[in-house]
Amino acid sequence: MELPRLETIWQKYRDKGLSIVAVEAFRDRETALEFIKKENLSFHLLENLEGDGEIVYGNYKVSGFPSTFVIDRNGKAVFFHYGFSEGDEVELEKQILKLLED
Amino acid sequence: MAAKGWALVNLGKVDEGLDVFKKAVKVSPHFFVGMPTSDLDIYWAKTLLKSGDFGQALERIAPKAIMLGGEEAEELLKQAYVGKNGGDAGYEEFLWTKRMEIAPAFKDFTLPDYEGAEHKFSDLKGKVTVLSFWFPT
Repeated sequence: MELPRLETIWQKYRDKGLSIVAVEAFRDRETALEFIKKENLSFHLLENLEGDGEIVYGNYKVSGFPSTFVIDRNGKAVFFHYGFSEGDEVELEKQILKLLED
Repeated sequence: MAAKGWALVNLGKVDEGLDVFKKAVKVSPHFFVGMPTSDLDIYWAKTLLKSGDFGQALERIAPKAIMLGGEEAEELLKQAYVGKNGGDAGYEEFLWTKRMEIAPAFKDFTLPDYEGAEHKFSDLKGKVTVLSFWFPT
């Protein structure tokens, strides 16, 4: 699962200019909150809206999960990842470092 | 539709195939980072490579190869680059420059957290941000 890995990265770089936001796409609030509590997630955790306020597909055409964007200081989506396998966090960390140093 | 264009190309009807691609790109769904979600760009780039049109092939396949990855798209991008430049010198630098050129501005949004407080994404500007869309399984 990706989010616990993101928590590790967050703890490492939170004081170096990184922020992390996770949006739960389908408003399964009960299961989401249980997971967040169990994994002690402490970055920004937001809920998608319903209907016209729905942003995941509406704004970004994202229909597979997890889908992760790495966005630079100017607000450009520089990297995109779909899915998550063990070890992917190594590549993600490299990309974050590159953008933090830029 | 993209597959139909590719079939025409394979029958030797390259111009007709390219016409189909040009129509297909207008109607195929596009991923946020800009490229059609179908295999259209793969077929289109292959066709341009066959015709020796390396520059156009490179522009066609770059968004898919760089933003989404995938072995076939990456291979086609490299072929286009080598064809255009006569070798792979400078390829890594090219990939980075092109990525920064392609990377779209991220559309802003406002969403609530679990306490009901609203958060505007653009308030994080100036930071490097990881944004993940997920659902609990």
